[in-house]
Amino acid sequence: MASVRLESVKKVYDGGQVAVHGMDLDIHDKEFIVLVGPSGCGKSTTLRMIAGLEEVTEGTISIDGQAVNDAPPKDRDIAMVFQNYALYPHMSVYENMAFGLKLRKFPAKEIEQRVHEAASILGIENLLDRKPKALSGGQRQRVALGRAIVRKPKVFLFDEPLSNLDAKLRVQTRTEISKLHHRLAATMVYVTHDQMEAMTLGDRIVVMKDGHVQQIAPPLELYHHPCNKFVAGFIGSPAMNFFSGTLQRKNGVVFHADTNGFQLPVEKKHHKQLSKHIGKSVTLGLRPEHIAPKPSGKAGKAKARVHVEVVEPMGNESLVYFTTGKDSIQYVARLNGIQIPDAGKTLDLAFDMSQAHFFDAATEKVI
Amino acid sequence: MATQHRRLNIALKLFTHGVLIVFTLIAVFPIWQVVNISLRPGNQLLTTSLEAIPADATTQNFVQLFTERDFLLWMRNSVLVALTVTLTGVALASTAGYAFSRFSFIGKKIGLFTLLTTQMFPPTMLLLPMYIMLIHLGLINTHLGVIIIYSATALPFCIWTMKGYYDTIPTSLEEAAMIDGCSPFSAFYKIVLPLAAPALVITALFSFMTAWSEYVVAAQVLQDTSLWTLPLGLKSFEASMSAEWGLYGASSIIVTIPVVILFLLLSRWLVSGLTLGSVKG
Ligand SMILES: Nc1ncnc2c1ncn2[C@@H]1O[C@H](COP(=O)(O)OP(=O)(O)O)[C@@H](O)[C@H]1O
Ligand SMILES: [Mg+2]
Repeated sequence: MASVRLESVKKVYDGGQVAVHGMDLDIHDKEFIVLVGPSGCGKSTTLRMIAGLEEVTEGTISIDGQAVNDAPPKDRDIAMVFQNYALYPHMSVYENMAFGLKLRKFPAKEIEQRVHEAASILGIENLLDRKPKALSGGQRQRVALGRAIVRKPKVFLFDEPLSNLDAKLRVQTRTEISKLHHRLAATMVYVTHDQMEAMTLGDRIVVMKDGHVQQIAPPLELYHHPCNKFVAGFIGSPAMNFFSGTLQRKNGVVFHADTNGFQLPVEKKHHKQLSKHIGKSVTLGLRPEHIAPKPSGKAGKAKARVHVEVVEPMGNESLVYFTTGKDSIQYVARLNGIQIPDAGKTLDLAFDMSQAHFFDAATEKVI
Repeated sequence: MATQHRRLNIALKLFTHGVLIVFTLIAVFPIWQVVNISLRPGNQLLTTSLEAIPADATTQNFVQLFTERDFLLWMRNSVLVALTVTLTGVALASTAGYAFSRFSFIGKKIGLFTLLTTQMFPPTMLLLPMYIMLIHLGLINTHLGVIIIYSATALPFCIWTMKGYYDTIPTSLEEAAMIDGCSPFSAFYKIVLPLAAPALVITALFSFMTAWSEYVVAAQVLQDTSLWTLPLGLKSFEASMSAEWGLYGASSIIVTIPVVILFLLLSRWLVSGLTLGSVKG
């Protein structure tokens, strides 16, 4: 029932700082959109403009086709969950949740019913009489969620709601927010700097950097088809490895790494798209899971002898940090848990070039 | 070793308590003196007796105060002036402090700095210019005249107090309230103002005390005895010719009673940490 549309939305702060450069975004009804990016990239600013807490410098924000640029927050029918919860300290949990409904002149009966319904969804019925200061961080977060859902708003906005919780609670609450989204079938916009949260929650993810949208896509598309080096490096953990080098024509096409001269043959399927870049500098991107020890005996073509620096065995997998020779740039491979190479030794690694990404060295755009 | 340590501890405690007792006595002595004087019959300022309560104690001074003097009138004047100053101070400081804390506007820094600078001038230095201003405004010999001066004197401190307290209240509370359905103003008085209760109390007490106990300005501005505030009345008892020390003592005590009551009433709001638990610990 609620779509949100941003058209060339720009935000310039008083000091002249441009926080968001002309952003276009169409958020569909019932969609879970995640804004993700490093700290300071303009995620909160964008969310706060949708909420009406920041003025829009240029462009239009509309909710359900209605331009809301000049509407105060209370008239936008949105609810927001803040990073620091922002519960009213002088009110009980019940009053916190009922506050918005009272202001909107709901009948007392309905207020009570809605608060109890939300409280039971969130499992906080036993806390209704408490003041916020008598709650744990996780409980406060639930109350903040409850305060948002009692209102049944058109759009839910979340600004890093989990970042003050400890790791375990964070995962737990994350799945609960996901469940809430299905249950309420509401439009949600969620801001986080954590790509893992973005990947697990979002129907679509908006990757931002320095106030510019980099890519808008569903999680797996972002993962498999990043549009530039930034997105490729930001999504996925550990991050994608980047090797700089040049493309050369030699028995087909090979990637010739700058630093230590190892050569990796490029798969046939990539030849066509790379044809214009032969002889030019490119960046090869390869995710850690696409690098594995070379099976002994078998003569794979895309291989390199590397120096193992650090091994992190984690049981289900081992992360192997290695360097390739002359320079000290560290790369990482994700091996299965049984393979635990020795640190300090050399190792032959096979590169799965079918999974390779190529980026223009100058523009950093995907080729 | 252990006993030595304990002995040192005891000595330290005795010393601390000794010092505290001495200072308490110094603090209590004048009050005891005034009580004592107020209870003495006639007009004795000095006495050689060290009795806590004089043997010939009498309430005649108190009775005389209310029956033969304008004391009640002065009290009414003082209450009127002090309450008006308090209300003005609280109303203006709570809103001005909010603006200074939350909004950015041209002249904000200069404004705050100017308020601070006004506190550096000794009040007596401002007496003459203020007097001249009041003459031009036709406010000499009116309560409004002293009310304006007292408010102006108390406001800078009050605004700074309020601003400083608002600064500790996270803005996300108002933002949450505005999303919940408040206008900017109702977010202020429904959410922020209740949380600022401790600062409001300090502001109120400070404004009240400024007006309640002020003498110099009042002596300049209020000339009719019917307009006098309590400090002026008190001073009249020790007129150079015949100081009426008994009346002076009695009125001193009565003057402090409203202040004590006010402190007791308001002190429960003085607890800090009202905002505890609103945001992440
Ligand atoms: N009130 C403000 N005044 C001036 N600059 C601001 C303000 N709020 C944020 N910024 C700047 O705008 C940029 C984007 O901030 P923000 O949207 O909070 O980033 P994010 O939420 O992605 O970490 C940052 O560079 C930040 O310094
Ligand atoms: Mg942010």
